[in-house]
Amino acid sequence: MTKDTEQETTHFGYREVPVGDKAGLVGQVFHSVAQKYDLMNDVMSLGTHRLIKRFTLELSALRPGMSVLDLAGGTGDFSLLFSPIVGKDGQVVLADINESMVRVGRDRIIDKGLTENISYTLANAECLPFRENSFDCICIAYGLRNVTNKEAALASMFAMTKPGGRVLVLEFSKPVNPLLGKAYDAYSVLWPKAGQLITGDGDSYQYLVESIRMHPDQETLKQMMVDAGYRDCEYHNAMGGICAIHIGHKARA
Amino acid sequence: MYAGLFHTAFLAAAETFLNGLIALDPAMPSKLAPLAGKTLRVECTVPPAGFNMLVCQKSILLMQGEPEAATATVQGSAATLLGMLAGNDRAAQRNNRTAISGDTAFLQSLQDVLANLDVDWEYQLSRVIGDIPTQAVSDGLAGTREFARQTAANLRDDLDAWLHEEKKLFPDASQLETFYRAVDRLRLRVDRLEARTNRLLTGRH
Repeated sequence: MTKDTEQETTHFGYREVPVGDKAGLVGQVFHSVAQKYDLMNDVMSLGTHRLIKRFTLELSALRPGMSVLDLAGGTGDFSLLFSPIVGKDGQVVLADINESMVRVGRDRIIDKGLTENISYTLANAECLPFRENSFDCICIAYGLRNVTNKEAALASMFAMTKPGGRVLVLEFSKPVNPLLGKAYDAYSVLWPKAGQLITGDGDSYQYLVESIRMHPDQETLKQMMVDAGYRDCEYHNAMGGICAIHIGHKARA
Repeated sequence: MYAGLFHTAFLAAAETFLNGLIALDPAMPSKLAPLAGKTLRVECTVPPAGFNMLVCQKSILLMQGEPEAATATVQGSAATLLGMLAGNDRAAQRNNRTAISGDTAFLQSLQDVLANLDVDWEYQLSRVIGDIPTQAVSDGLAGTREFARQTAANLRDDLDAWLHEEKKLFPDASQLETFYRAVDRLRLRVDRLEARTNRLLTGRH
């Protein structure tokens, strides 16, 4: 976030926009792509996002009976994975700031017959509407980079995490190998064109490419989590650092 | 503990296969339900790898994970573990080829559930091609199986006769019997000769 002479601004992709406008602009992006979101994920990641999500699930250390918040849960990929693990005694809450995404996710989950332990809510990650110490695990996947104030989101997530619980942040990151980085950059240039072809909205995917490049790298995000209060923070690179899964723990009381 | 994406991909493929089989047995959810929420930790010694089998209401998830979460742990080589999980190799446990710790009753129950996986192939096939074609296919398969069994038995007999009677490569049972009897007679004679020789030698002294 940078101080402007008139008002505070933040980045929206490569553009600087007033802080108050970013959530609305991001909302428009996801409203536009919600219906074809999963298909585009498969196209852009060549299907590897499923593996990365599964790997994240493995890092969650979820057990039956636990409560988990699928923050920025969108079309429900993670909620579908969490639900059978926490079982009927556990609880999954799918939360997203975008109504269109929650609607797609909710319909998809109900269509799969999972109604027992999943609930849905519209929520802003910066000020989560839950009681403190509510969740054994909070997972935010490909969501943090769209949040206007990431520090506030991490702090809010920390407050909602039970002592002894953990937060998982799956996000695009910086490739560790420069050659891979160049190849990835060249590939990601194609995304807006693919987005235009599949969803009829290239601009939203242009924002996606830009927002990935503006997102903090592995070490910076790790430090942000430490600053938010999490302990024993670590990260696992996936696909050579194209994505990274950060894990932070909340100390037991 | 977390070997990375390749391990994840392998487990995902194995899980898809396993749950595909489980979905084909309509009785599986009721068999799995009593075990739901329990985790079996599988530690493979050759090749070195480990994963958790988490039993859910209608499926079994295979994941890398923390060994502490396990209800029971089983350790052994890949071949032994596969045989054991299929319920075909209970002897492996007795022969100390596997090490088991934790709730062994859970392991036994899981083994029983997996070993008794009863996939009704005819029902699954009938959903795709219909009842009457399924019956035809089923009858055809039964006929083919019987023909194959009969043919294999005939071939075995013919081969036996050809090798023994025509090519004379191997002796038949009666020739063998005569040969063994002759060997036995010879052994007895040698024994008697040996005894007689010994007696003569001791008499001389």
